[in-house]
Amino acid sequence: MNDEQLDKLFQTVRSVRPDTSRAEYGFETRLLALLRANREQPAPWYALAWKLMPAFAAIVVALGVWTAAEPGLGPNDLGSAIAGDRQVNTLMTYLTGESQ
Amino acid sequence: MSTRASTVSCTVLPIGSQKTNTCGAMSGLTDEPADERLIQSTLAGDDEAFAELVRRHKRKVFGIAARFARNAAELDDICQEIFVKAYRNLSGFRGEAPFEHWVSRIAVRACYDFLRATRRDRETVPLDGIEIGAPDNLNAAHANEILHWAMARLSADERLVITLLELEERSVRETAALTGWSEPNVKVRAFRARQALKKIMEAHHER
Repeated sequence: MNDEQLDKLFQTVRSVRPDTSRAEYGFETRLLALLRANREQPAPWYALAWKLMPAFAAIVVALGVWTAAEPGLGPNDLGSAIAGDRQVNTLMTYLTGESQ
Repeated sequence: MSTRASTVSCTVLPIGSQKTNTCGAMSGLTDEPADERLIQSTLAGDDEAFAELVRRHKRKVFGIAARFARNAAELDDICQEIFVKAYRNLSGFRGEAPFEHWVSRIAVRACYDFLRATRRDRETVPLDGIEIGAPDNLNAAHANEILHWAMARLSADERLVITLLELEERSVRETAALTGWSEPNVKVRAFRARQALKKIMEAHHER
């Protein structure tokens, strides 16, 4: 198919406007009924969640700032020891029950 | 309505009442209130004003959507979606362009979303018993069916640009304004869409 044939096809198709008169009939009435129904329905939970998004974001930022500002846990804490260099020794001590 | 009445202060009145034309914002010599006036009334809570806006512009919107919908139910769904979006975003209408242009942009975007959402379904559209012959010999119904079948195999972008440029006969500038793409981008997409369309038609013809 060449460009000329394609243009001819377009021309034939656009020569007939789609008849939408039947679909248009009473459209405003249906639309207004839909809008009224939407207004009467309570907002869905996700809409509320979306509205609360700035509050959630503020909480996350505040937590981030607080975590960054807070000094780290003590050196004798099990968690920080495991994460650090002394993890094997500390684990052994913990498992065997020996005091440090 | 007398011209004296048009000098009365411009307050928002219900469109359903007989006192709708007391504002200077009148559409020419007719007694119909301007779109801006109807928008103000809608924003003030008058649903009848919005119904009047819909009545005025639905032909245009249905015309756009009809090029994308496969049946009457889909057409109704798309048009409802368009006007619901328009209603929800009406406060964002600044009046820089006519309301018709604004609602056309919403219509084009809604149709684009619809095309993207239904791409997979569209590819299964059959072409029962219709031969793609020389376009000269095709009547409008057959031409429409063939083009519909071929365009169902295009991407949403390609289909949108072909519909606006070739079927709606919009200019590149108008298409760019409606889609939000740049003018060179519209031209490139249109070229690619035509190539893709020709390829689809040729592939079917060879089969």
